[in-house]
Amino acid sequence: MGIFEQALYGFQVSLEPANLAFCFIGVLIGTLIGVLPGIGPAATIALLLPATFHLPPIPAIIMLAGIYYGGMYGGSTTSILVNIPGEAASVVTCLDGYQMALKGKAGPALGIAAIGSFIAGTCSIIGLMIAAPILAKVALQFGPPEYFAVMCLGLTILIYLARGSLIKALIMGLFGLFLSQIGMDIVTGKFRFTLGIMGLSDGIDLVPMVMGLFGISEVLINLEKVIKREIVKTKIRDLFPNLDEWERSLGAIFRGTILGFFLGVLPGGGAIISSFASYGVEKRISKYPEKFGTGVIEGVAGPESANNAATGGAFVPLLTLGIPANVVMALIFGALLIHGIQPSPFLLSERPELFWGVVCSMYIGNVMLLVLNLPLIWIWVQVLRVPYKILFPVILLFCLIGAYSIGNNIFDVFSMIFFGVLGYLFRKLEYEPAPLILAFVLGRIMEKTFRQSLAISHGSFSIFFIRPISAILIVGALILLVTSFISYYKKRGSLYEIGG
Amino acid sequence: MRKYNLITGVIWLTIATLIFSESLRLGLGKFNFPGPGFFPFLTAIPLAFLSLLLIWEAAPLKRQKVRETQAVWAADTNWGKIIMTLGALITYILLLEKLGYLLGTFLLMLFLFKNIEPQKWIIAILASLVAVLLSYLIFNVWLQCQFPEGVLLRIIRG
Repeated sequence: MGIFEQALYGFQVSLEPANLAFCFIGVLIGTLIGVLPGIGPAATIALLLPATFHLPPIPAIIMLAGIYYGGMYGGSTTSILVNIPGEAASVVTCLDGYQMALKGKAGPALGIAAIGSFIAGTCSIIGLMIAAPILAKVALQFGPPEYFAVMCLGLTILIYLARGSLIKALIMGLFGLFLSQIGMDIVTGKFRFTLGIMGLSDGIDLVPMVMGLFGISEVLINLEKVIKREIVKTKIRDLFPNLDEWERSLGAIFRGTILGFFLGVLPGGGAIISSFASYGVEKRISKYPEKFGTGVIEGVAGPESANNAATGGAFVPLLTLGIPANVVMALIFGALLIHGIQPSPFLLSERPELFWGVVCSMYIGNVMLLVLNLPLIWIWVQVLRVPYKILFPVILLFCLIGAYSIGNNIFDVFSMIFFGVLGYLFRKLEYEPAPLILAFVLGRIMEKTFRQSLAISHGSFSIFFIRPISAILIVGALILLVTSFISYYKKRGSLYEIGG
Repeated sequence: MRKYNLITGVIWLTIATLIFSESLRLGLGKFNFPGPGFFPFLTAIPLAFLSLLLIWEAAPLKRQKVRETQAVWAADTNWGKIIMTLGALITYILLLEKLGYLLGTFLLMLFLFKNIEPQKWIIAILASLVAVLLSYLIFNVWLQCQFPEGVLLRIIRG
């Protein structure tokens, strides 16, 4: 089958009434949590994951994907109108989006954010359709050493891109690896680090962990201080940008799309980094960089396109290599496993209905989002008026239900609270939770492939260096690690002032 | 932040030491057949190295001065709210199976609505009722998540 036949098949699957309905539910919830600060796509997907146990796999994954890219659309609304990012990938949109709103240009800002997101989302899905089959074919030649090497590179990239301390990011990655080792050993059946607790014998569950680290900790951070949310008092009109605004935005949208897609594909990349990178590029190539931050439309169009393009890109490594590129993909990876589907290079050939159905549903979801975010923008403005004091008990309730319903046991709920407190402390002490989650998810596969590789080579570590693909990837990871250490210590050195 | 980096550095070093000793107890195996302790061993070594680096960074030489960064916890941090919320959540978990979902969750919601960010009684009661009933209908009835019945439903059913 050619790509067009496959796409046609995908549309047939995604246009089935049940799949269409769950696509709509997904993008609706996505926009809602995108608009509401205090809960992001990772925590939402984690708490809705148990609810998908009763669904067939295709509508379940379609809905979870919808939450992810829907969240990117919704996040911009809060950034532009309230100057608080609805979710992390929209932080940078606050800079120029809010300034535009203050100048009475909330309409074009919201309009270009939605249209840019639509163009980028659509292009990234085309990219996914082209890149995934090629990469899946290459990945069929992968053995355990290559898989181990890809995961090493993914973790290194994530740490390389860490915004704060490099040492802390590495520590978080190693701690995530350690957490993945808790429970029964996959080869010998021995219990490791369970401390005699029965609930730990199968290892730590990903869902309560993510809900704790992202959901509960976010609530605790927000309880520390009263956040004032004041919506800009302006009439939202002229959602469709004028000719001049179009002219200035079009280049930014396409640059953001390309940058976002490729950063999304990289394990460890993702929407947040893409939006910052796009803003940086737009500012650098602009004829008036000094005006950035005062309400320049390119500063909204670029990052909003980039974060949407990254969502499509992030599906590439998951659906072709079985490697999640970010925390949300790790959760979708978990959802696929729950439904008995192992994400791998064989997914495309063994479950084409799932692959093409999900991909094509993203096209449809993007059209739905355009309607939800342009003509129906007034609904989301009303949602923004819901005060946090009403919102936070509801978020906590959803987290509690989500954790309890995984296995109907109290242990998972305790586990969530434990990770909630840990996540709160991590955030306060500037430890990013993302490397921890990704290392946790990759940890078990890394250990398995590592042990398999050594068994194949009869105990020789040279297996990672004599096979060309794994050698290139491992050397790449080492180079990244060394260069990031060098640049980290150079930067750190400039923070010191030599005293007398 | 330096003080906290020093403290967390020591905690990470302790964790690394514990993983290290446990990995030896579990058995490292051989290179061609690594034992259950081998991968934890490989995790503990860089973790110990990095925690030492963190400690070293946090305690720079006396002749060096580091520019102070802002405080980790602001002076007006509302600790009461955080502790009360966590206390309420833990009490809720401990009592959930006895009280059941409907009664237990209603009391939790009422506490959160009334005490953490105070509201009028009528709003707190109404909001708690709506949250409990809606979540019960969606998750227990529709999605069949099977919440604990508890004392209230048992009395109603006789």
